[in-house]
Amino acid sequence: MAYSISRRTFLGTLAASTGVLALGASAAELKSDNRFVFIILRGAMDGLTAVPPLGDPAYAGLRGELAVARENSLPLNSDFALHQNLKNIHGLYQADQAVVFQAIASPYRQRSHFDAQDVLENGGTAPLQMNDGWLNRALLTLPGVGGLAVGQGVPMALRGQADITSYVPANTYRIDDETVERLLSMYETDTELFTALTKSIETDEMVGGNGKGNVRNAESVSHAVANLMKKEAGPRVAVMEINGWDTHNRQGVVTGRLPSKLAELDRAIGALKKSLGDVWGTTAVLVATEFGRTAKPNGTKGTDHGTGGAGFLLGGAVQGGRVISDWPGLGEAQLYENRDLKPTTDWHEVFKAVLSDHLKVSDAALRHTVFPESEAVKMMPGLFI
Amino acid sequence: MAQSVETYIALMRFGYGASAAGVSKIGADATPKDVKTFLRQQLVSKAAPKIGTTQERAVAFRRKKEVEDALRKQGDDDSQMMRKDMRRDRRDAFREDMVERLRMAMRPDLGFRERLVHFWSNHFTISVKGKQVLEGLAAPYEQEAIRSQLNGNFSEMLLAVTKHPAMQLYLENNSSTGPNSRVGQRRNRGLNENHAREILELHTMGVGSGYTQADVLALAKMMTGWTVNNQEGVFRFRENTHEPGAQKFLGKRYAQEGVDQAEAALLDIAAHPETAKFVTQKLAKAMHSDAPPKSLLKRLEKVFVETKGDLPSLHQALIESPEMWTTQGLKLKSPIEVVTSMLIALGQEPSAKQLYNELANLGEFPFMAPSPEGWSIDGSDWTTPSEIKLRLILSDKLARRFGKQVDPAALGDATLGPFLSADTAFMLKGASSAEQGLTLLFMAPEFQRR
Repeated sequence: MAYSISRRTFLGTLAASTGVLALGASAAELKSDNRFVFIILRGAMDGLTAVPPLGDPAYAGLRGELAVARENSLPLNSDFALHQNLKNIHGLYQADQAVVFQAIASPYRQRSHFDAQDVLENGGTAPLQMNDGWLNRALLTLPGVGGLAVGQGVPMALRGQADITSYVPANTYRIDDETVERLLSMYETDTELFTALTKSIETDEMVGGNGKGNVRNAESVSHAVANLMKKEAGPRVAVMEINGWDTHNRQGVVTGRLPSKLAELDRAIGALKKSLGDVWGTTAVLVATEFGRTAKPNGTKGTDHGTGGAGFLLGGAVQGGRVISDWPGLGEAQLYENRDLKPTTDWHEVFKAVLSDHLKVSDAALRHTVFPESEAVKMMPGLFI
Repeated sequence: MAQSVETYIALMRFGYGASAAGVSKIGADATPKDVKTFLRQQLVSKAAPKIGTTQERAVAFRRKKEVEDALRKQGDDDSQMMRKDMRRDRRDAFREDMVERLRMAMRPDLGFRERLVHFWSNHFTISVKGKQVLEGLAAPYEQEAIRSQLNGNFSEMLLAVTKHPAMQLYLENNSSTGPNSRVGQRRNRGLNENHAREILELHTMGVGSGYTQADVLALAKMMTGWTVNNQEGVFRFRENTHEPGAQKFLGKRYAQEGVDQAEAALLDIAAHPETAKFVTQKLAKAMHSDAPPKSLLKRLEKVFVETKGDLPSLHQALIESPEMWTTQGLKLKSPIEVVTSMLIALGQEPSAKQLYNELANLGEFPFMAPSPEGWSIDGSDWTTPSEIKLRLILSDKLARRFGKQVDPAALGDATLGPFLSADTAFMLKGASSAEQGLTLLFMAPEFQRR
């Protein structure tokens, strides 16, 4: 028996309450109808495999057996290519809907995953510097724009005072209709629990498939997120995470761990575009990771924690077809601390552009509340149509 | 037989959950006075978890780490496998520590004390995320800096916490170096103001209570030299990294030498009126509800101020506060709380793996908070749609496993007593299966709240 209770009973139960249906957005208040998805790749994606700098004469030598060969890549321009498993992203690039960043990093310069993810998400310049996330602080200034956390918890980027909702697909979910109905009737006098359960049921209904699905399968999660975000009453901003990028051993070049992670990311992007349908035209998807990996392979056919990395900004709202990189080079003298790709672009430049140009956050809010620690960093112009 | 409301409040609100065993521990004919005595006795209990000390753990960690590093250098498959095993063992040991912690919280005669311990150790959060050495130190930290300090003064707890190697490592004061210290002059090292800021913002006065960035810097400078002796796993003051000279902090001049300087400053902020207010408000919020009544807030603050931060007086004031004895379910339980209640109701102890999986799935595992702020004590933070869905899935899972062994209506009586509403009782009696009944009991508003 499916979890989803029949539409009739469900609406009947809901009639007892009002206003619990809206997940966040209420069109009248919105300054913009744009959508934003932030995908965090946890564990640190190896940017030199995802976006191989084939034009750099030092690349093949430095990377040795981890170097991506031209025939296993998809061309971007004379300097850069994409790993062959990033087919959807390459298609977007050709349709001018993808910006590829290379040699980009947050302000963090150490090599701890947790601290680096914290900095990427708290929007400050040091770990544990702020107790809430930049996206949440931005949402606080955007009434009506609902924020959605995908998963059991709320990622730091979305933590804070602004109300957000959450959705978690669960493949073990097989609660029968009758139990849920009875529970709803028990919650009639408890507004908080009633609202939470109702929202969960409603979100699952919006997603379709009765809320089943595997939270670890980025593709199925992406379909669900897209189905929610394209709805008029759905959230406009979502954060999702893909884990498992920490490739210290045998990361693989053509096949293997890292190539399959890249394929998974690419399928997720494909799923978002497909399920968002027309709404893709007003959507931006930002793909970021906490730091890059060492320029040279380590002793176990993998790479260790590094600094500069790669990322993507994708979507119909994006002025794409470009690689944005102030390429520092891979020569011995050009590496950061003799081991990592030197970062030359700050993620804050991109974050600020997303918030300002795409979500219409005010300049004052950006300066004073969202990124108070990085006022000097200017937003990157021209990323959006 | 109907049990008194007080007995259930003592077990459910002060402690982690009620059961027939818990009720009989208090005694079938306990008076409200007896119930309060039952709670007061917990405060002086010497019961401690069966775990090693910080020193033992730190030394063992260092020894193993050397082996791991050697294995890493060897780089062959066998070495990598062994290294992985060592890492897994360390992680599993941490999870075992957390089962031992749960075991104590489940005991009716310790539930209240453990709730207080958990409150303070969450107030002074350390998190093992990203710092492997802390996996071994989390439980000893809680024992040495929190549980053992529960019968002292807030200022003593603050000092014990601040000097504890686990906190020094977590907030990285151990590497903070005075720019004008001997080491600071010789090498390119500097201040790390993180720990000082969190002391003011999270541990004592609270954000927006009047201190400035200059005060944060002054405290950070006074705390330079506070570090860890990594060989022995103990606090150490290192003169070579200590910023020399007097500091002006919160309008007062601190001219003490060495370790005394920051100690004097910490004692002063522990006794600061803003600290009394911030800390007691948080305690009331954690123990009572998201929006505690003014009368309770005022009383706790007054006790803190008048006793100069005497923790037993503060904890006893909770017992004596009439607001705590209301029959209304007040606060939504956090994942740790709700899972502990479920296990108390079922009389089951989970394996380390089960405990980790279920709590991590619900989003709250001890000592793994995402920031120094610790886990949210705001019940409303745990009423997200995902959270309710996951709690329902867990309840259903437990019901499938244990439903056949219980009579949900009787279990509802035993675990909720006078708090079981007529509606819920009706639902439990009319449940279409024992499994459904158990799911409904665990998800009932009066079970999810306390």
